[in-house]
Amino acid sequence: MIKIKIQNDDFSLNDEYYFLTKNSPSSGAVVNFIGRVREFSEQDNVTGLMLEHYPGMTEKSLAKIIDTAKARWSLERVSVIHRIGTLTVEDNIVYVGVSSAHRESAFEACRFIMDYLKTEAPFWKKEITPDGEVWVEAREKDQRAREHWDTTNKK
Amino acid sequence: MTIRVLFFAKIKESLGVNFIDLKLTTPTSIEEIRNSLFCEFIENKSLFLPKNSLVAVNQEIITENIMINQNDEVAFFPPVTGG
Repeated sequence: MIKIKIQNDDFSLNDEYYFLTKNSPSSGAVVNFIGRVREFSEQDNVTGLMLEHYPGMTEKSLAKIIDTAKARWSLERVSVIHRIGTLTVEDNIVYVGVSSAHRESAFEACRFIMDYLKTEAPFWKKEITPDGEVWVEAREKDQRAREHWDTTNKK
Repeated sequence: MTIRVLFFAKIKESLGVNFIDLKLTTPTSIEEIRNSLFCEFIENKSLFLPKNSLVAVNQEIITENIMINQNDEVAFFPPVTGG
């Protein structure tokens, strides 16, 4: 089972844990990742973010990333939620949850999905600071994190 | 034929438009579309340089200079920064 949601509202960890585990006795491991709005980034004094996306392509892109993860690891369920719109510091931005029989698959697949989401899913962040708004530039570090999976032995 | 090119994020904001309809001969290619965008938005030409933009055709990122047909959905946007 796969769940992909793009939404303005916050998400509930309890709801996602329920989705990942309900009637799933083979799920021996659950890994959750939550990305949050940080007070520093390229700019100091970030007070919030604006998140834009490409409706339609975003969902397709996330589905493809999850399919690739499911082909690589044995997974039970996957849930990906990304918030859009205006967010403030300490708000949640993104959730990736994976359930699997064993922890290795759950940990690795969760990280794989996040690394691909950051470099392929069409979202864009604009940082809000007291001095104005600035579009976030893509980072080389994120590209390297994604490329790491090309050279890591497939399980 | 007319090809509608969609814009997102910094490209959309800098140009002040969500899309442009380009009149092109059939079939055309991504590079021909890029050249048309250079001409249409000469002041903002740098936005469309390969290092500053990704191209999606029918909602998939494309890295080769493929041919584009009438009903293809084409979009230019900056490198992505979600998560």
